[in-house]
Amino acid sequence: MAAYLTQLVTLGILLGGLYALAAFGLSVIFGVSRVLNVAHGDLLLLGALLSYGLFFGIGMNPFVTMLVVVPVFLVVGFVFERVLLRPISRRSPHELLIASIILTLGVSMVISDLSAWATGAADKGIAYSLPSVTLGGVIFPSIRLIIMGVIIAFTIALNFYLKNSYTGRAMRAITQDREGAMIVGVNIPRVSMITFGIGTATAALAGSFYIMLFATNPYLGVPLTVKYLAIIVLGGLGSLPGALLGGIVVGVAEQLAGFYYGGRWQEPVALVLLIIILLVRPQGLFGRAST
Amino acid sequence: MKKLAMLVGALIVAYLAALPMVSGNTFLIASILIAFMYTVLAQSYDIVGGHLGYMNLGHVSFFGLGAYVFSIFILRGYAPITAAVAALAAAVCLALVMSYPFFRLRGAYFALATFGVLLLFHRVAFNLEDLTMGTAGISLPPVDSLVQAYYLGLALALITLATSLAIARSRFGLALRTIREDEEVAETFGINSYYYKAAALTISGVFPALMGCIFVWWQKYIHPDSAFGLEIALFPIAMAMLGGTGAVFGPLVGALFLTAVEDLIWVNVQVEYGKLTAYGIVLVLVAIAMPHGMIRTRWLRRPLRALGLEDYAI
Repeated sequence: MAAYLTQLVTLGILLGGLYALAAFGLSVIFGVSRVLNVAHGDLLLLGALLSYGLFFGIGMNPFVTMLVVVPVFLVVGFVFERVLLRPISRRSPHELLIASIILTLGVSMVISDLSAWATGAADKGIAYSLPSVTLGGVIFPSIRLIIMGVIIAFTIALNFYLKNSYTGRAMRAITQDREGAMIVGVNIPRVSMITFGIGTATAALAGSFYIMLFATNPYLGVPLTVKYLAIIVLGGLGSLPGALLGGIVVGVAEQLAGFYYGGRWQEPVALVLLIIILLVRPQGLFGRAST
Repeated sequence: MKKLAMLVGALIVAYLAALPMVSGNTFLIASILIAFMYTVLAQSYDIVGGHLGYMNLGHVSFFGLGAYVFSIFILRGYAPITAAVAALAAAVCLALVMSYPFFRLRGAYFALATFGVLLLFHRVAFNLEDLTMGTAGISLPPVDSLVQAYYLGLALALITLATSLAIARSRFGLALRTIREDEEVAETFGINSYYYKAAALTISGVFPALMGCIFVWWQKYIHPDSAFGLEIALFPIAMAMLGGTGAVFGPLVGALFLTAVEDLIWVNVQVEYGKLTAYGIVLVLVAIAMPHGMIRTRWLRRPLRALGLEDYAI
């Protein structure tokens, strides 16, 4: 029994890192541009599709595809922000909310539909096997280990960027106090654009890993976004270690629910957790008490 | 409202009421019934989405819940009236249960979290097979009910429109709009925002639940996708946005326009993909160019003023 539990928790933690990566992108975009990107999940799936295409098209190793996916989606994010979000960014908060939701929802619909049209609505996955590592009676699937390793490296690099580079510090400044950042001369539109690029690239990277572990279909986008939202709220709005912890909690909970109640109850887990955290501690595990 | 507008309105309602008796065109009657359905859904969405300013993307959960509760009760042999009352009660319960946790969120977080509720219902409808028949859906005994459903739909649509109007003109509506503009300031004015938000959500949930009952009464079949699916979820919101969110009859305009587009264009163009893209592009354009909706555009000002309806386009 304990062995099962440890195994499930381990799998959950490894999965949670992947979720946290995607949630992180969403969180950082919201902090800087005040836009909750409903199309985030769809961008993740696009990253997965690109990885899939490279794997089946030219036989690229799935882990190497990330070297292509990240730069491509950095640019995609830049363009998205510049073309679609910039025109609405100057509106009042309430109008921005409505406009950003409709806009990103619309983009999400377009992406889902076009990718279904281009590649078919059937599930896709990359079947790539590596021997697993067993440590102390617990099986560590190698793929998940490698993914976790990459995610940790990526997170450390990103953290370094946020703490030490000008743009990274600008991003944090804007998240903490938008007007204050403007006063000290931060170019908010430009930083927004870069942030969107980073967030999108993060999502796409998560996507290219996602497709190694799960089957994807074009209509998973919005449910995924909702799950990452649940993770952000769980961890606390505006807290990055919170997003990591939230991701792990959701990952572990999903594994446990899937094991004890059956696979089809895995999906609603994140939502149920969201409702619980809203009832018990609305600011999330690491959040500040105010919104 | 000027007398002309009232006369035109009365004529339209009379025409709609007489239609099933003079025309045997079931396609037309069904299309108008669908128009009633979307009107009810879009207008009731806007009570919370437009007047209160909280975008409840999961609004259709009330519709699906009402439809399923109604079906389950009918299947177990209860009378339709009892089933409808049960559906109503379920919707009220849902609204009250949702209010406590969800109104702690604001803006986009609220929007996505409520959408999550819808997804949850979708999953649960599939998973609880003993209760909901899962993927097979619930089938009810065949009874020719199109005309009945039509008149019920007409009545419900009129009641929903009247409620929207009543809310817009009342102190309740004023409280909602104040909360929308600045919730903290509203609280300092003595508006108990939690109470008003919960009340608005409950009112907005009643109409879709009843419409769900009417829908099942007509179709005699319900399935998780038709109750909680993406299409039924997003259309009313797209209609409210396109028509004019926050305006009294904005969603009505959007519902009528998009239903017309559906009937005229999409009936003839049967594509497997592309429809969602078209709606998505429309949403993007609305967000960038026309976020206030069709009812507030400049070229509608004069006709509305001539009819004395400009107050309903604020």
